[in-house]
Amino acid sequence: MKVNTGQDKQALALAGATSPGYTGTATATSATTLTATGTPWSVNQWAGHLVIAAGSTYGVVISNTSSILTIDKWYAPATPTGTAASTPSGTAVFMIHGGNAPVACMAITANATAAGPTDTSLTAEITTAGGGLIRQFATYAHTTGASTYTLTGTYTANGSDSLPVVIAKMGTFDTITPATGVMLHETVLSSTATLTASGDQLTITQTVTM
Amino acid sequence: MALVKLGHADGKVTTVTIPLTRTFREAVRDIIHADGVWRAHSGDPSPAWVESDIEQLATAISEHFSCPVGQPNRSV
Repeated sequence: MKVNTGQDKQALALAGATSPGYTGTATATSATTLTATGTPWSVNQWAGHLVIAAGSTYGVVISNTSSILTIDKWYAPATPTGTAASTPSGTAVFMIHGGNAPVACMAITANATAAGPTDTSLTAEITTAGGGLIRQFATYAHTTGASTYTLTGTYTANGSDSLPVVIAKMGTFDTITPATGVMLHETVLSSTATLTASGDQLTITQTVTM
Repeated sequence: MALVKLGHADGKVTTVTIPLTRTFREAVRDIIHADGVWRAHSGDPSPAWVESDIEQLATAISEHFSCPVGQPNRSV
C-alpha cells in the first residue's frame, strides 16, 4: 500500500513544489549535515530532496532547520551502497536539486503486521551491516504506455545474516541507509519466504500503479 | 547500471534499469524469476526479443526465454 508519507512524496516529486532548488556556499559540514549561510529556509522545506556538494558527492535530505540540512550520508556515486564518501569541505559550494530523490530502494522485514497508511518506517527492518538482506537499490522497469512501474529486489543471504528468517513484508524508500528516509510503499508479501542458509535467494517485485 | 529492453508481441517495450550494485546472477534473476520483472509486465511466457548494453546479460536472458537477442527487422 502507498502510505501517507508516500502520497506526500509522490506529489512533491511530480510537482516539484520547491523548484527550482537552491545554491549556496556551506559554512560547515559533517558526515550527516551541511550548514548554509544565514537562515534561508523553512523547516523541512527540503526533506526528500538531493543536495549535491563540491560537484562530487550528494546526500538525501532527511530534514532541515532554517540553516542546517540533515542527510542520511554523503554518497559516492559509483559505489552508493558502500562506505560513505568523504565529507565535503566546510566551505563547499552546494546545490539542492529542485526535484525529489527517487524512491529507488527496497527494504525487507520479518515483521508481518498489516501495513497501515500512517506508518512511516518498516518495523524491524533488517539492518545487518554486511548482510545480504539489508536495504538495497531496486531494479526499475516500465512498459511503454503502461500506468504501472515495478521495483524488483533480489536478496542473497550471506554469513552475516541471522538465519533462518521468514521474510513477510517490504517497503520502498528514498535512501539506501537502513532505517532512514521517506517510505513510499509498505506491502505484506503475498506469501512469506523462509531463508535458511547462506546463498538462499529471495526475489520481490512491487508493482506500483501511478 | 545496466539497461535491458524486453520486447512484447504487440510492439510494446519494457525498459529495465538494473542498479550497478547487482551481481550478474542477481540481475538475471531480477528479470527471469517467477516473481521478477517479466512476469510483472506481461502475461506472455517469454519476451519477443531482448536487448542489453551488456551482451552477456542479453544472452543469458535470451537463453532462458528462448527468444532472440535484438529487435527483429531492425536495420543497423
